[in-house]
Amino acid sequence: MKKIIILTITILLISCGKDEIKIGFIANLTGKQSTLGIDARDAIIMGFEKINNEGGIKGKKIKLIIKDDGFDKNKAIEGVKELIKDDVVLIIGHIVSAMSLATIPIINEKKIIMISPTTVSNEVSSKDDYFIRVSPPAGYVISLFAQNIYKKNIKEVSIAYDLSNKTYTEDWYNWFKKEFEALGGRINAFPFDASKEKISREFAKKIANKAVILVTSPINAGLLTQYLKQSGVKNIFCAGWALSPEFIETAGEYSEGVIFSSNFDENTKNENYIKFKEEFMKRYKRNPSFSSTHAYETIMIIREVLSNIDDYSSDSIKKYILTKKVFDSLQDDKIEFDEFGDPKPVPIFIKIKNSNFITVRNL
Amino acid sequence: MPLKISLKRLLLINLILASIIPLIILFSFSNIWVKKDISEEVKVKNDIIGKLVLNHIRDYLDFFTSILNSILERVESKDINEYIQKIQKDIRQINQIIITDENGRILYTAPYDNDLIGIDLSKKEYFVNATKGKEYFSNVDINIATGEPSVYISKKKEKTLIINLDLKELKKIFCNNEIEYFITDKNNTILFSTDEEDVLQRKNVWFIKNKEEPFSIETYFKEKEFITTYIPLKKMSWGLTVLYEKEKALLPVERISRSLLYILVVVIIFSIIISALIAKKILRPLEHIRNKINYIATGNYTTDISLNGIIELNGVIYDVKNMSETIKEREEELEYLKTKYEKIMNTVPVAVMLVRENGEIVEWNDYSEKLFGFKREEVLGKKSPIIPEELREETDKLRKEIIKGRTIINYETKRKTKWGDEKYLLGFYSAIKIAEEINIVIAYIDITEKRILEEKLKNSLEESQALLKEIHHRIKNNLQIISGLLYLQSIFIEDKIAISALNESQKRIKTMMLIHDMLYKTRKLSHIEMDVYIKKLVKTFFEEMISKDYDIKHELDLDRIVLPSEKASNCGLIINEVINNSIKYAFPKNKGKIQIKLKDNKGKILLEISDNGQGFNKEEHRKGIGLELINTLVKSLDGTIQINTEKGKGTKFIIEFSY
Repeated sequence: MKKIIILTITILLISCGKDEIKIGFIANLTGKQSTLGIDARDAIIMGFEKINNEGGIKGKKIKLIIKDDGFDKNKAIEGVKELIKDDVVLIIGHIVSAMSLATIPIINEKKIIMISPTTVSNEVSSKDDYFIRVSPPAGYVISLFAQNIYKKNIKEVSIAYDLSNKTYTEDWYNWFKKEFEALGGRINAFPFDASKEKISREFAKKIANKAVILVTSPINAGLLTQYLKQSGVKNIFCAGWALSPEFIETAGEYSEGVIFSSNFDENTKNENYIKFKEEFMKRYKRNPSFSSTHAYETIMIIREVLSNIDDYSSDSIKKYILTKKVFDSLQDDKIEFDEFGDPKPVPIFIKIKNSNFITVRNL
Repeated sequence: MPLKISLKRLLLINLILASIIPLIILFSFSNIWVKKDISEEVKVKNDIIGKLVLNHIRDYLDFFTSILNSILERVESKDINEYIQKIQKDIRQINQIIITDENGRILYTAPYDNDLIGIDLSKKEYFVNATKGKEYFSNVDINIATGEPSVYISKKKEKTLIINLDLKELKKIFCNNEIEYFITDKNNTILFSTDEEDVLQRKNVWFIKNKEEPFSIETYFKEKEFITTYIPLKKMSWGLTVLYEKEKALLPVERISRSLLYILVVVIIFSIIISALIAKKILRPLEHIRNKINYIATGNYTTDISLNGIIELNGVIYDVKNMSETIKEREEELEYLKTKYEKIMNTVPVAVMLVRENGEIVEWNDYSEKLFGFKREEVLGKKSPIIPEELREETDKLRKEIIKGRTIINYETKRKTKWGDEKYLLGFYSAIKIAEEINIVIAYIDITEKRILEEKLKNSLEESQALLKEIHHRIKNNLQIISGLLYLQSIFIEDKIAISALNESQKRIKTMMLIHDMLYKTRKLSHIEMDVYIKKLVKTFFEEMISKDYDIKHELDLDRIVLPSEKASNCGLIINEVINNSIKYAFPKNKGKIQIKLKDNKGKILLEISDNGQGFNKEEHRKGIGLELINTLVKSLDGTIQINTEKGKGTKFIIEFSY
């Protein structure tokens, strides 16, 4: 009799149940700022497809639930709440720091892990919470960037920073200002909101200086670069946010010589990155951006964590990451988390040469 | 080899074979066949819809290419700006019209945007790929001004003309609520879809199978699976994908599957219920019956098995009860028989034992213990200790013969006791089969005392016989003396009558003497063989007592008859008297023939003495001592006498008497 019951239950389970791990992803997927969100989404889809095709994690397939925060805080909060309601194991997101900052209180309240591939804002650094990020906080990179610009004998710069991603850009601006002014430099600040204002030639003229630093999205930075170069500005620097092939497309020939602060090296010899890049190219017919790369690194970390813990509770995930600390990356150096879930920065600079991103250690 | 399977397993196999497997097979086949048919149907439908949509799109894009070409034709004309402005204003789907120089720098835009003049588009895909020959349709691109996804149509002449189409506006033209489809660029990014979000999010579609074949789209795409048809839009290097939601298409299959699943679940539930009922109504009672049988096997025959709802099971319960009662009766009978057997075995004054072919003792009754002094436990499983050494070989041989089937009764033998003395025994041996083993049952009757008594009797008999022989011998000798005295007396007597009387007496004494002589000489002291006796008597008579002047022949016809000595003596005297009378009176010429017959006539003895003499008158001789004596002797024999005589025709005495 017991055998009959067991058989029945097994049949019912086979016919009714699906063994899967739900993982949420939220990023800005629409609008002018959506490029990096889409890059991350495509890398994540590719990563989870690969895991599922290889049999899943402990035999369980990953079910990815995607939400668009639309670069809107309210939509971001709503999206995260929906994902929590969908009973996801963890959330990957957001891509821009402003959105991350808006939803961190919710994930901490609900005790659900959120791993951001690209949030670099220093505002979320050194906090023992449920927020973990794969990109290192921008502070150190920005400071180094400021030092190198100053070393190029540029004592005065204009900084145009986009308030649509205020968390990131303001943070970026403050760090740079602090370091650059400490060195003796002078800064002309030009905050603007790309979601509300048109990027105009007039604005470009306003910010034109010996050196201009653009802290905005790839398209906006690209367009501004054209305006600035046409106005005679020779030294254009960009924050890592603009580091995307879309920048070159938008800036055209004026992209030549533009320098980016970054912790992403497209020219790394890391075999895993090369393989990832090939797969990404094959699949999407475009090069992966830093956003795609960090998103894929996030998948690598999630795969390792979920493969090595038995219960998928947020505390177990967090404990594993903070205990293990060092994870494989797609860059030259491994990702090394501190006790707050922030990785150690490995700063580099990127320069555009012949429409390609070239890695440089010093400016 | 017999199949061993439990009823539980049989039920489970029955459940699987009879319901689950057929349902699963039905489920699988219906899924495969119906899914295949539906997929084919959807493919055809998709194909038709796709072609219709394709024509619509071609017409639509042809409209824009014609506009593009018309602008290009007028690009050097004076009114070009107004012309472009008008077109841009009138056609909502056009976001922007751009004219660039050969290096990709913007010369003109509509709507006019001074900021964009001079902007470098040389790295843009739609500029790089624009040719003089034909229109180029770009991949999805973010409009530099609006930040929305859009596509560009570009063509080169001296200058390059670029028209930017608003993808959101395209929806308003293509939208059809009944069908779903999308257009992808060559990077598989959706540039138009019936679902606007697909475009806005620049979703990328991963084609699992070859684009020319129906394929499924990854589940991440709207988290659904679709049956799709891909039609390439070669002119634009785009592709049209017509979607039909798999779940929707396969709804009938789902319904069939669900129905089958419900049936399966119902069947399984029913099977479980039936199995549970069977378990309750059959297996448990069977277990109960089994326990009871085990209980019975332990010797407790109280069967209080309650009846069950199953008729066949009740039959089994009845059978078990009957069996139990029968066993009980048999057991009692067996107990009675056992007791009887043990009592008989141990009460009978016969030593009974059961031995194996090899002589090993398996049974040993009380009397055996008593007779031979060995206790049961001393001999059981051991070779018999009572066989004397000198009889061992003989006993082994005997045992082999008995095993072969010979039964031996009244076999006199001897065995030794524990104390060493010998016992004379009368043995009975027979083979019996007990549980496939042939054993020998032996019964010994103790005849030791009888044997001793017999010995004594034998000795006593031998002494008596010797004495009796001596008596006969002495009687014979005395009769010899009397006969001699009578003879001597007759010599001195002259009276012929007296001499005749003395001779008659002498003959009679010889007749008796002959009896005693025979009794003395024979082994049997009480009986006389009459044929031998009569022969001797007749011979003695004719040789010693008849004068040689007589020519009397005699003829004997005698059966072999044995008579007690007294009857033999009387018989001899009768024969003596009759022959004597015949010789004296029957043959005047002293010549004749006498016949003597002694026959066993149906359990009676017939004595016939006849002569061929002159016969005699019965009345005249009636008072003679001879006939008187004959009648007396016949009477003493309890017999009858018949005298047949006729003058000149001889005489015949017929005497009949019992043994």
